[in-house]
Amino acid sequence: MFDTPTTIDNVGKRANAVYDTSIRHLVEQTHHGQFIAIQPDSGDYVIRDRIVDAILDMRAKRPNTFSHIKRIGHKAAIIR
Amino acid sequence: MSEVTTGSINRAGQPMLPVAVQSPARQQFITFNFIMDTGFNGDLQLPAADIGRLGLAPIETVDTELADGQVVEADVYPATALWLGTSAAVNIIESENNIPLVGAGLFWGSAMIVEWEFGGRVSIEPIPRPEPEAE
Repeated sequence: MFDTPTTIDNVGKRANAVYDTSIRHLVEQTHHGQFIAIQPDSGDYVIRDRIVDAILDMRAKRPNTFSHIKRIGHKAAIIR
Repeated sequence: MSEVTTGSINRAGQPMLPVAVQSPARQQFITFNFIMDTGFNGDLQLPAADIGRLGLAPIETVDTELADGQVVEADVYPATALWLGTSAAVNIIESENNIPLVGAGLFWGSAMIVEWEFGGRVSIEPIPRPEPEAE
């Protein structure tokens, strides 16, 4: 089990570390362009075509935790 | 309640849309004027001060690319907004600038008409679907 952090600080940094070491090589070719939500404490992740679905499905899978959103093979998930 | 949401073109030539966002802390809706930005693929963007007024708490962070190509990490806040005549779950992205945006995430599933002139009308409604035939 893992301790759920009480702050969102460093979630992105820790999720990116999990992505680089454990997830990237599994998904970068097969899921290019899709959105991924990563829960860094459990290592769980959800991949969906739309960012809103990645967000909502991860909230359902890991309630009361913090996660980080990326777009696979792209430098950002949100463009503005 | 009407399913059409309307806005107008402001004096800077930008299409503006008022959207009411629920403040769980205040038990009421606060209406903000958003610039319609079809190049923004999120739902809503608000400055930190406005998110503070709403009393929201973040659940996610997201890699975000700014117009100058810089990538920054932004907090994502779950919220409820009035959209097309109904309550909708939305995600609000915190911005470091002072520009409220409504984007393609919220526009998904809708059709819009923009009258491009000062004061011109902006209207958005659900994509019209044919009525299912009666048995």
